[in-house]
Amino acid sequence: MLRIWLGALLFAALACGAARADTLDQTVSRGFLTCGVNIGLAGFGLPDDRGVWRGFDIDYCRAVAAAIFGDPDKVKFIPLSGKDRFTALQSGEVDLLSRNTTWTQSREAGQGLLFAGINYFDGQAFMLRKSGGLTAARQLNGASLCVQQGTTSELNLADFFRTRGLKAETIVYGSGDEALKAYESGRCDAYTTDGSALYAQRLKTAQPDDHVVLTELISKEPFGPAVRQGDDRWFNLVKWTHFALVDAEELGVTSANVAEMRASPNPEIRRLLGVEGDFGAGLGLSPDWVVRIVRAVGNYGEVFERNLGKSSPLQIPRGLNAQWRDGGLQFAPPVR
Amino acid sequence: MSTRLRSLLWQIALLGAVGGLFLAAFLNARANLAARHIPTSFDFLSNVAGFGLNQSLIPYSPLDSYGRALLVGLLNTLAVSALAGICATFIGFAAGFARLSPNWALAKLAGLYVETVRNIPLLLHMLFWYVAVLSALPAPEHSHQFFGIFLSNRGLSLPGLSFTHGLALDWPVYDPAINRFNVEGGWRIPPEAAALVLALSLYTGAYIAEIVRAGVQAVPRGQSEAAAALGLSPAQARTKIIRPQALRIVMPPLISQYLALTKNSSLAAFIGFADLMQVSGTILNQTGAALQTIAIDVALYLALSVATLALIRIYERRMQWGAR
Repeated sequence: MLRIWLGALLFAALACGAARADTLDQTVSRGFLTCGVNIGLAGFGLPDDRGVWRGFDIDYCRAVAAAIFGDPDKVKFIPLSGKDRFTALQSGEVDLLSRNTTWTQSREAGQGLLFAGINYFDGQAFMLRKSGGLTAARQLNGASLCVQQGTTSELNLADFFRTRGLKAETIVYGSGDEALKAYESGRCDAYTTDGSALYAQRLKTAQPDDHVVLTELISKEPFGPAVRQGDDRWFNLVKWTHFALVDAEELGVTSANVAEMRASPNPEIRRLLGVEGDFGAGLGLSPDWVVRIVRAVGNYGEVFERNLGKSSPLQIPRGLNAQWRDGGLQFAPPVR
Repeated sequence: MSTRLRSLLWQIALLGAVGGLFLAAFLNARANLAARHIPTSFDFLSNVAGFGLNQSLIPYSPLDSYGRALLVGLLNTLAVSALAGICATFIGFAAGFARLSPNWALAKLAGLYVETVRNIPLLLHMLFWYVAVLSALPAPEHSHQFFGIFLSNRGLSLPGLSFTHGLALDWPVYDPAINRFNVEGGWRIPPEAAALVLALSLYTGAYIAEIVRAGVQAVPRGQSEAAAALGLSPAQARTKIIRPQALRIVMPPLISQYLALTKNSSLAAFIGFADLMQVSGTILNQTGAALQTIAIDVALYLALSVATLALIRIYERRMQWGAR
């Protein structure tokens, strides 16, 4: 008799658990946000010498936590490999995937994800030895190329060489560090992955000045934070956290002046900072949600420059990631 | 009701409960997967793979299907495991007998090999040999050349028959030559494969050496004493009395080493070798079909292990080692 009861109990345990709760409610009741990040990519997500996570993607997690809790430290960072990241998001292990992940059609239409905007416009590039004197990717005909697995890099590379009738040997490594080591030891003539990552990896080589990252891009790699499908409020919250960061930069709201800006006569700024109207309610947040975000991480420009740009070792130019007024592609819908 | 019937009913009930549990788990998983928009079909296998592979035993291009890419990975795993298995056997038996040798230096040397290699993780072996192979070899433009063979950090290129001409006999049709970046043409053994076979053979060889030593020492002392009493020389006693008995003891743990070796080869992805795990990893990433590719991997590794086991059973039956 005991056996039957045990069976029934197990049966019930397995049959339940299909129902899913609201992500924001879950996060609030848990008391912290779970955020899937890169295992280690300088500029995007990497623990510093004291074990504190730093980077562009990290700041997006912190911005969302600040919007919800008013405290950017209420985040649990979960490092994910390229292979594991979608499963972790789909299964609910993380609330948000902020991990230099390319927005593609199949990831939304086929894998149950939604990308909440493009926070970094990137493309696949090549790093090679300066001594070779190459200036364009098509000159790599017949070369050996080191690629990191867990990205769309292998596909882009094959496409690039195939469409031009060129040939190249691709050697695929499980991690970026192994690929870099093999490239440095001479196994490959070039190392290819997303341009932003190449700038970071170049700093890890013994002689960064011996290597050059070609400015030519062979693919479009728009990065953005991703969430699960089926929770529109949560999707909106993440999406508008990104837009708020971009809008804040456009309107000149920074982490230093956000308090004074609340007194600004500009109605756009007043709406953004919750002085006029209540634009947080629809997201499940209080009216001063943008104040909390900007106070915690600054505006989009500050996040960019601190982690990737002028104030960072990477020295990546704003390029496509400049505000639309400055000739870039960062354009956020207004808060109103 | 007879005791027999009751026990039968109980067994049916238990079987039904276990079956129902599995069915419920399966249905629940399927419902959850559908709710999370995780695809579960295997149709992607016939889609165009789109990515290149640098090591293939069969013709392969990025225009081939995911299914064919998996086959390339499987064949690479098989080739490397078979090669490393053979090398490990030779190394293991040599080191195992060397450890028992009356020659003090030889025994100590073999002991040193076994103890060092066994106590270092396999992944470190692989990374070490890969870096060692790469740094010991010159860049392609400075390749070592002998008899049309090229050795560089891009691999070992041998003159070979060209498949594009069919298996024509005008040898060698396809000579390796240095181009701007690489040594092109001919048959090539890439450094990744060499490092992988080296690491797997040395690592597994150390375990096999211990198994062989233990097997020989497990033969009762009385056997060699009896051999001596019968007037056999020590060499005759070793080959005719000790060795056949030791081999019988050695066989079961040896089999598990071959199985472990095949499974261990899945670390190849770390050093850029296109084995089954590496290829399926790329497919997983491109298609998002995590469950399906992992299920395929599980099934294939299981099949490989079962096949290895079956082969060894046949060998055992032929040598009549099954019965004492």
